[in-house]
Amino acid sequence: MNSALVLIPAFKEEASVAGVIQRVLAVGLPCAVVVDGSPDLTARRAREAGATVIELPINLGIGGALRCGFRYAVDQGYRTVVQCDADGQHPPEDIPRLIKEADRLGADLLIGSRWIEGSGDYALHGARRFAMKALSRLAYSRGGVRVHDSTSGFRVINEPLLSEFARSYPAQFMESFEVLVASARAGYRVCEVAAHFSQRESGEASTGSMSAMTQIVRVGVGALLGLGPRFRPVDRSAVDAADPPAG
Amino acid sequence: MSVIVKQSGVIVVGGAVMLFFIGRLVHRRRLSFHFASGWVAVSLAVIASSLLTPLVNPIARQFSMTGTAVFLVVAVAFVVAVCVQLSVSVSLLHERMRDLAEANALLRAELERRPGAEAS
Repeated sequence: MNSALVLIPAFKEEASVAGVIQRVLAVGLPCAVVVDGSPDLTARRAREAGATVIELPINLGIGGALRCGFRYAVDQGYRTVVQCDADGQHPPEDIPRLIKEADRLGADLLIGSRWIEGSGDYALHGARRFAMKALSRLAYSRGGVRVHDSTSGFRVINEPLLSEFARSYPAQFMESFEVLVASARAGYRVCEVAAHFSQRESGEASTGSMSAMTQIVRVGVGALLGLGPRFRPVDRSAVDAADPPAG
Repeated sequence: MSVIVKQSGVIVVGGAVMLFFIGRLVHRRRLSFHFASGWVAVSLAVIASSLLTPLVNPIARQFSMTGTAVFLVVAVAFVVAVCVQLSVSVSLLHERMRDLAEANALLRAELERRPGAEAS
């Protein structure tokens, strides 16, 4: 049985994906890149760098790419997936620490956070920062989970939540917030630790500010009305008995 | 010619025009028979409803409405129902497309992993 897989969704990241893969492989973890219908050389660069490449024939969006990656991980027998961006914002050197923290905390979903003590000086300003804070409050009110960075894409996902993600991960942008709430509501253990983020090395965000704000409003309203995705409730005692927290 | 007869005539002509355009779309293979059969049924229902025109005004008066308003309400309700149904269909198709794309990508990755396979 395999242990942990680093999963990198990528769209138009030909300039940075190889460097990220090399850094992931350097920490001794296997790496799979889901190329989301990217028209550039992202897939070739990823193959050349030594990653397993899962190349979607059309652009499905971040949620579609991730579900495909989660399916691959489950098919290959991995019990843990670490999601990491291809643009260099997430430091691969931090991944072993995140896996250990997830194990110590018994987390089904561990979020690497930009905005808690010890996470460095990653800056987000204006309306987007306000929206992120509002989403964090919404995550608490709807899912009962206290997180500062509800949209972080630097995450550790452990079984049995990994199989749930492979089955029904939502497709649309801002899905990270939706699955956070859905996971907490279904009884999965969601934790958050500090992580050092960098500014992206190259390329540009796949979603513009206006579109991002629209999506934030969409998921916010969806969460308020209870329209977000739902996961099957987890038997917490059975999970802890099979795989007790380390610490 | 009475108002009711004129209204019935307009409804019949509307239904006939709709039927004609549905036929043209099917003939040009722009509309599948699966959907066309439903729209043909709607067109025929519109034509048949012309027979109900004399009954509309008395019913409308029960609700303090005009006959025209009743037709509009029914038409808008029908259009909304069709839009919702189409949204459901598109959502289902989107989910199926997503499944197919993922299956395609996973199969391709599996083939590339096999010994002797060349990366494209």
